[in-house]
Amino acid sequence: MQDVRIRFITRLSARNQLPWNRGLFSFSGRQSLWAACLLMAFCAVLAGCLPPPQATAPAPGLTVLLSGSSPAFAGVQREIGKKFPQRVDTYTLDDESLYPAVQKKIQASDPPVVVAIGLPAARLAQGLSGKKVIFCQVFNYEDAELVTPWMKGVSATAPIREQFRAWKALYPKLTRVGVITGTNLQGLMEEARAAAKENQIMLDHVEVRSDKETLYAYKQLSPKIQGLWLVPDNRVLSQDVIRDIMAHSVKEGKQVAVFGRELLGLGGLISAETSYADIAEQVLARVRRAQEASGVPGAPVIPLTRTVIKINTVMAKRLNMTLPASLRGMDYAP
Amino acid sequence: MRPECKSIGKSWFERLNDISFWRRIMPGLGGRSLVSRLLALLTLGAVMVYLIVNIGLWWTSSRLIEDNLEKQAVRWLAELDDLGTPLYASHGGKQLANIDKHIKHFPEIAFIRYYDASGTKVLGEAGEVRGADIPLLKPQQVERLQQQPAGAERNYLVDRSLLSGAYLRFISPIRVKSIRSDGLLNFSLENEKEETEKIVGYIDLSIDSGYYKEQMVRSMASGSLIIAALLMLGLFFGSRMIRRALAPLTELQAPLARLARGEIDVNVERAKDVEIAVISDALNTTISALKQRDEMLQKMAESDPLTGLVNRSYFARALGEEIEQVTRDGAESAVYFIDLDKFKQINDTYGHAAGDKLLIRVAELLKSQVREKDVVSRLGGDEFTVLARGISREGAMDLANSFNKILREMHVTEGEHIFSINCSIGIAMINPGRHTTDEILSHADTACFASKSQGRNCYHMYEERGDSKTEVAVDTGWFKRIQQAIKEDRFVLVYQPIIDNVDSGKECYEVLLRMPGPNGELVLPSIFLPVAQRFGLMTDIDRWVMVHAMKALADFRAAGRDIILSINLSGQSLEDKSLLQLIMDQMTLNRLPPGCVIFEITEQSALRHLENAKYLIQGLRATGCRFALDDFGTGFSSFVYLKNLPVDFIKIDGSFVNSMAQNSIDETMVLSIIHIARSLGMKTIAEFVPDEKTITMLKASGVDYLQGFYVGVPSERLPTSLRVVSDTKKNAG
Repeated sequence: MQDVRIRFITRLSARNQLPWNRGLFSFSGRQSLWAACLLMAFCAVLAGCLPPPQATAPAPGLTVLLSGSSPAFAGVQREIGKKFPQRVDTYTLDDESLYPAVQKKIQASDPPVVVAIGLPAARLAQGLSGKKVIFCQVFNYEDAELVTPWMKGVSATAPIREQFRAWKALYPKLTRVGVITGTNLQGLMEEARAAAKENQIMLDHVEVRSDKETLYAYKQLSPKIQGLWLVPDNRVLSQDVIRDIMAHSVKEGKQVAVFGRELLGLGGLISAETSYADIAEQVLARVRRAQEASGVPGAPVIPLTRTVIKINTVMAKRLNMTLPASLRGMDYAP
Repeated sequence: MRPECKSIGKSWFERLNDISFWRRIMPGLGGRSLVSRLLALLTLGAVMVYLIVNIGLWWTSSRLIEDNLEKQAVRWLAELDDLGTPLYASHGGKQLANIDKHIKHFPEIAFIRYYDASGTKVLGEAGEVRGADIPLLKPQQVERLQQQPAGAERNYLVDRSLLSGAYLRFISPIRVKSIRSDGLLNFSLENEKEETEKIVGYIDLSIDSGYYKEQMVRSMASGSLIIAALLMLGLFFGSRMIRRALAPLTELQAPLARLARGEIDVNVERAKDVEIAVISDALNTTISALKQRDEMLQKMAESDPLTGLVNRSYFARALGEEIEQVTRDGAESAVYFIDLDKFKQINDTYGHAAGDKLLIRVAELLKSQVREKDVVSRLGGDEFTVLARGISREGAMDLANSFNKILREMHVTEGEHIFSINCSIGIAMINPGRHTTDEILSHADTACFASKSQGRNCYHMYEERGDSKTEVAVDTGWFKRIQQAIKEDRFVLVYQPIIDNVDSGKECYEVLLRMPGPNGELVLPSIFLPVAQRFGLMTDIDRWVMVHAMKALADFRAAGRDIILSINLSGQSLEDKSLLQLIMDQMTLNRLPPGCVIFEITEQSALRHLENAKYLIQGLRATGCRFALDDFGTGFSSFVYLKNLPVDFIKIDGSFVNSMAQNSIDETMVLSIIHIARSLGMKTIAEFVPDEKTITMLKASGVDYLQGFYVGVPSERLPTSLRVVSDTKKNAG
């Protein structure tokens, strides 16, 4: 089997059309974005609400708070460090007993904006006053009630539309997909439903409260669906359940869209991963806007723009699927 | 009615309880038998092994069942955990029907219960056994489960106390896990992610372990029956086989039983088995040895140890057979009674060793004169008998003559001495059917006596009509009369006074024996005592005298006569070890002070039975009795013996006293004896004092006591007064 990786990066620009949150979109050109911004600015001026443009003061630095030393956090922090021109103060939360001290330090620090990477960092950053916080790598931000006018984030999941599009391209007959999550994921589910609708896929969503229920619900749901979109909701997943789900899927011949290529080896069909660089870019974009505003403007969570798609060719062959030309380069043989 | 017939009609249970039934199957049952013991041991061993195996099996199986149930329960718990998820699902559960359906295939599952997270509220139940009988979880149980670490190998509790152990109860927590918040970022199954666990409920599963145990009990019961049947079969065949194997041993029973009964003409067949062959060989060897010993004992019982000749009993038997033979054939045979002349004198002069040598020589010579078929025996002492078969009267006399001649010509050397001996022979022809063994012997004895009377060193043929005095003297009727006299107390005791030279007031009498004759006359001891001696009746006579003399003494003393009695003991009595105890018992019985009895033994008897005499003398003197040595001076004994015989009195033989007044040698003998006795601290009694002159001489010589017809005659009644020594008149009777 060919072991050739072709990375296909789809550059995405977020279209923030409405104040309510719409998921992430995938379309080309930054022009639309700039056009939208200019339009808003003009309207604000006309309305007399827009303050006269001010000269952008030089950025006062950035504080980055990591939840731990995990690559998922360090990677993002590294990208931020590469892309942010000013000073970046980095704090890592390794020892829970040091949280108050860290919080105090950050509170006393100069940078007005704090980037919290991971849920523990975001929770700690919640306690900061007078600081604007951009969080990322937090999946259950709704459950954690992180979003406030001065605390908003960047999506932790890869753009769903792209996932579903690739999945549909791989299996055009895909019409019914199940998804099992915990509670308080409305934003994600709205994005997912929109992406599903766009790709003529019916999405069956089941809310559960534990990993045990996840497995049970999947077994109940399995006969009705063609595939499962496995969402990385840690609240309702455990390693055992993940294995059981994957084993059940393979046994039942179900397609599973997973959130990491590691799961392709357990029988996943298609995986969608985020990119640290993409996360960093979106974070910095929000940082810059936050630096210019009193709060953190924009949607509670902005989507990412890029998805790394991998397709398990073994599973695809087993499920009698043929990799279309458009998806060449995404094949992956675990 | 035979036992088998009795069994018919009995129930099988009655037959099993009938011991005869079992004995027919297993002979030896009930008795002590090697086979039974072997079988019993084997059976016991088998039963023990069976019990141990069964107990072990039961225990092991119970443990295995419980372990297996536990393992099965763990699997069921996992399955029920899954099946029970709807109870904890977001929308509530309606899936208990699935659980019932699932557990229907497992009859050992008694019930299942699901609890909420607190462990107090029941969310659902399933199983055959439900309801209030099953207690809820205890708070301690819930707490224990909560404290158990999540990854523990055994994350459940086992409760064996439910319904007195009828059920095994397993209680397991239902846990839910969630990966930590960043666990799914850069997800990899290789890295163990920290997960959060939470208990959302409990499963309560009870298993009826009795189900399997019941199955096991049934299996064990049926197995036990089979094993019992096999055991019985094994016992039956085992007993047969053991009997067959032990047959060589059991075959030894019959010859051993015969051996035990004393039969020694037993032959034990040599067994083919090596081990038993050793036993049978040993038995045969033993039997041979027994036969030899029997023959030797027989020989010893029938022979004289000194001369090797047959003894009296053998001779009597041979004579009896010869009498029958003669009666049948009408032939003639002769019996010889041979008595050596003056053998005692030679014995006393040259010693017993010389006497024995002489006897052996005589035996050899007698045997040399007879034929093979003739029998020579030694009756005892110096008496021999010969049975000459098939011999005429003339031939018998010739043979007797040859006996006389050969003995006359015989010389025996003992040291420096050469001596010879003659014999007196009595011949009695065996007349067919006319006389018994004893009578013929008595005839020969009578004839021998006649031969002695005729001067010895000759023979005399017994004739039917002989001297009446001789007949009276030696007729075997005397034997019976003596026996009768002993049995019917017909003997008469007479008392002859012994006068104390110093203290005439003391009364002392010698006890003498008389026997009523066939005509009512009193027969002297010299007539019947030899017969008694010959027929071994002296011990009985002595005992009779002892008993009656002591009783008489007690009566005399009770009547106010403080007398002393002197009682004679024969040489044969000295060999009676029980005599001492008899005397002591009689003295105690009659309450006699020891000093009132004196015992007399002749010098010859004492020397002949020296050790026995010393034993008796010492024994009786220890009690206070006194001893006198009778007929002293006639035995040619050395005065050395006097030192060893602890006697109190020496009775000077009458032959010296009777003629001391006329014979200076006798006077010297008497004086010497008195002197020596005095020097040894002994007192002297002079017997057969004939007259006053002798009394004067004896008094002058210092003799202590006087006895004799002149001093006092023997009488049945004690004299009213004793002769005073100084008074020369005869004692009034």
